[in-house]
Amino acid sequence: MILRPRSLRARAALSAALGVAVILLAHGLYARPSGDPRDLALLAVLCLGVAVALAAVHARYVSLPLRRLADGAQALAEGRLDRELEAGELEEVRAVVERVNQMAARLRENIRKLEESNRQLGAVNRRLTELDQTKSDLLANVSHELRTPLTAIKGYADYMLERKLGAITPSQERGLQVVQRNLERLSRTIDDLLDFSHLEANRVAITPRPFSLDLLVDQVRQTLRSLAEGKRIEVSTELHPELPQVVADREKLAQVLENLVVNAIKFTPDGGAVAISARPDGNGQVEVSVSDTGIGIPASQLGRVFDRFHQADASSRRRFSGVGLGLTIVKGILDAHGAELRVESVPGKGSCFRFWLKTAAQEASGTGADPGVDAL
Amino acid sequence: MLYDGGAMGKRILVVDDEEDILHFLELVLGDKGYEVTTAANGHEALARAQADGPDLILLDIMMPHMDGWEVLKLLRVDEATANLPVAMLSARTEAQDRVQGLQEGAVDYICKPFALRDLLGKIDSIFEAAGATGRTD
Repeated sequence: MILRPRSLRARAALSAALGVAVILLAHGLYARPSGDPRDLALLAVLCLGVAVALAAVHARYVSLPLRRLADGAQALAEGRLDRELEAGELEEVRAVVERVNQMAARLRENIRKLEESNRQLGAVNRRLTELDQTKSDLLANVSHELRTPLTAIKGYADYMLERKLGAITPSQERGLQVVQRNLERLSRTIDDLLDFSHLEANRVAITPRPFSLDLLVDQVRQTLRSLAEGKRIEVSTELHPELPQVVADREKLAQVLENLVVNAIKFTPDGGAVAISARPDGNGQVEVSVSDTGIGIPASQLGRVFDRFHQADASSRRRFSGVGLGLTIVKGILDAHGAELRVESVPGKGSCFRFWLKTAAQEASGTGADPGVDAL
Repeated sequence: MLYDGGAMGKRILVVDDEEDILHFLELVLGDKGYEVTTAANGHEALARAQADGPDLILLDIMMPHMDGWEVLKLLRVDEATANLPVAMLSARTEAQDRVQGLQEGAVDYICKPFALRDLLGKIDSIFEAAGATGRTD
C-alpha cells in the first residue's frame, strides 16, 4: 500500500474515501438500467469484498501495535521494567506507549530510590545491632570487672567479721557490717546489669518446674526483711489456703518477686505497707500481686515503667536509688514465661503489680505452653 | 570444726591472675589447715600441677595469655594431671560458663564474689566426694 496513514482518524477517512470511490466506481460501471438481479448481486459481492479487504488491512495495522502494547503492559505487570515498549506507527497507540514508557521510567526511578534507602536502612540497622551487641558485651565485661575487686573486698570483710584477722571492737564490727550490707547491694546491682544484658541479647533461658509459691514468698520476705525494717515497712503476705503448684523457673521467679518487693519498698514512704498475695484466678492460673501504699505512678507514666533505666522523673532518680532496671528485668523474665504482667496505680495512694502463672494442673491438661523451652 | 579435720595434709593449688585474691585464698585456706600453693598464670599453673600433684585446683577463668579453659584442657590431656579435681572459680557467672565448666570436667563452678562459708563448704564437699570414691592419697 502506498498510502500509510499514521493515525486511526486518517485511516478511517481513507477507508471511507476508498469505500465511496469503490461504490461510485461500481455504480458507474453498473449504472446502465439492465435490471439484471445478478448485476446487483455482483455489486453487493464486490462491495463486501472491498469492505473485508479494508477490514483485514485495518485489523493488521491496528491490532498488531495493540497486541505489542498489551505484551509490554504484561511485562510491566510482571515487574520487568527494564525494557522500553516500541512506539510503532499508529499515532494513538504511540501516545499510549509513550505514557506507559514514562510511567515505567518513573517506577524504575522510584524502585531505585527505594532500594537505595533500603540499603541505607540496612546499613543503619546493622550498625545498631553491632552497637547493641557492643553494649551487651560491655555490660558483661563491666560486671566481670566489678566482681573481681568485690571478691577481695567481700572476702576480707567476711574474714574480719569472723575475727580471723584478730579481735574487733563493737564499733568496728558495726562498720564492717555496713561494708558487708553495701557489698550485697552492689552485687545485686551488678547481677541486674548482667541480667539486663542477657535480656537485651534475648538470652533468658528458663527451666520451668512445678513448685509451691508459699516457700518462695517466705524466702523473698526473709531476704528483704532488713531492707523493709530499715523503713519501718510491714511486708504482709496473703496466700490462698488451697494454692495449686505453679510451673515456673523458681530462681527467676524469686528474682521477679524480689525486684517487685524491692521496688515497692523503695517507692513507699517510711511506715507504709507492702503486700504480696497469691490466689487461683478461676481460669486455671495463679494470680500473684505485689501492692504498696507508695507514691504511685502518674497515668502518663504507666506505660513506660517497664522501659529500661526509667524512673517516673529524673529527680526521682536522686530520691530513689537504683539504675532503673528492676522492672525491665521483671518484665523480661515474665515474658520468657509467657506470663502476663499488669500494673495499676493511683498517684499518692499506691501501686499494684499483678502477674499470672501457669499451674501444674493446667500444664498436665495440655493447655499450657511446652515447659522446658528456652524462651524469649 | 567439720572441715578442719578433713583439711589436714590436703594440698590445694590456687590459680588466679589477681594477686589480692590469690593472697586472700592462700590466707583463708592456709588458716583452715590446707597446704596452699599458688600460680599467677596458666603456664605456672600447669608447671605446678605437674610438679606438685595437688589434691584440688581452684582455677580462675579470665586470665591473660592462657585462660582457665585452656589450662583445664591441657591438664586433661597430660596423663600426670588428667585426674586432678579442678574447681572453676570465676567472676563469669553466666549459665553457659557454668555448663561449660561441668562439660569440660570441672568438679564445681564457684562464682565470684563468693561467701567465704560457701567456698569452704564446697571445697569440703569436693574432698568428701573424692574420699567416697576412693580418690585420696
